[in-house]
Amino acid sequence: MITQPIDSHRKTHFAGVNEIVGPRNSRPAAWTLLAMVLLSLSVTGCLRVSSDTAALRNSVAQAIGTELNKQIEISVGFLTMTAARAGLSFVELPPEARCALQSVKGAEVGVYRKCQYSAKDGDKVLRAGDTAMNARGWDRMVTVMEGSELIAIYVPRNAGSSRDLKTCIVVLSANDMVVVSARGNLEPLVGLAFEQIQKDSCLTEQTRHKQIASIQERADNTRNCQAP
Amino acid sequence: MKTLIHYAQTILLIGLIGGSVAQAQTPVTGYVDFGKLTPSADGGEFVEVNIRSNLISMAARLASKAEPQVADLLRGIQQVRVNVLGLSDANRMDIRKRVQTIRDELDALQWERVVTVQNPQEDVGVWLKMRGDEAVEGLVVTVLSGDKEAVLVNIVGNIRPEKVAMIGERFNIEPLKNLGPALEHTKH
Repeated sequence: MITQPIDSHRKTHFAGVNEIVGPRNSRPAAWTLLAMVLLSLSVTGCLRVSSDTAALRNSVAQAIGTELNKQIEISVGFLTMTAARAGLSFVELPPEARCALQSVKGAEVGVYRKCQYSAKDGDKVLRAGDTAMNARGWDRMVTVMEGSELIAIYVPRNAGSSRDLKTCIVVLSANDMVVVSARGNLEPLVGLAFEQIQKDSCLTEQTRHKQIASIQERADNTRNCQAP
Repeated sequence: MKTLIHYAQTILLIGLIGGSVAQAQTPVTGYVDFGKLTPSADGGEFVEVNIRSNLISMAARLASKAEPQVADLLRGIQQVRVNVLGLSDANRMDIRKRVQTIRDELDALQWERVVTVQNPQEDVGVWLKMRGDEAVEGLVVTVLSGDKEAVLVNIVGNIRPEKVAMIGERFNIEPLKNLGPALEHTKH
């Protein structure tokens, strides 16, 4: 029977800071690591976009008649967003940015180059996008086009909860196509918007009062000057 | 007997589906079909907004705490559509014709024209579809801003007339902002 000293499987460098684990203990650690990676990929997504976003992307690319020249495709899920929020909680951010960060539960972005979009393709792009997305239960809510730029925003037809609203957006310019899909809670953003509207209306009211006061002051001055 | 029950179930199912389809196809009174508006090939401005009842009721729920008045207003709205079309040499005639056709149709369908502004810079019309004196079922705004752009707005719902000016304020639709007196006239 051969007995090996325990220390032959372990080499300790820098007194407990870096420890190389020997063959007997490496399997559970590797499995744990693999499980964590798989879990993190399944929960957070990875370097691809979901089927709805992909359907919009493919239909638009087909309408333009271009091949997808992928620059990046990334999907950020719940865990990553939570980690980002936790990390950024120590950083000083403007309230709007923090609010937006808290609203988003997950997002996907795809950037594609050399898509060669021009204004004459606009109608074709919208029709193709509508066909693909309508079949999946999405409706186009907003479209903005000018020159060789196009933005189309789709929302689910049966969207009912403001706490979990999904949107799918395609942005086209002469050279680039960006597809974004985001899922989030609208409530903090709407709260912020209402606060801003109230501030603006207060400012408008104050400006109006100042203007009235200034007009009255000028009128008084004129009257005083004219008085004998 | 089983076959009979099966037939009855099938007929009931077809009836239900047919009924719901028929209901879905029934046009809402205040809805106006602007036809298919396509972006011009020369890259002119084109904006299309179509907000349906589910998102509007969601907005109403969200607004209920901070802005109860706005929430009350939103609850009465079923759909908001806005189209902005930049005019160019390629589409100017077509769009003008289209706007004129819409105006003629609204008159023919006995929508009430409550605002008319015509000057060299602007040609504005506001129409209302009233249900008696107490509610506005539909609202259409058509604007031709000289040779620059055409704007078409259709708001569908069950809106109290006194709230129409508030829609103008909140959605920033200029011709509706001063509609209060015109609606008072409509009531009497």
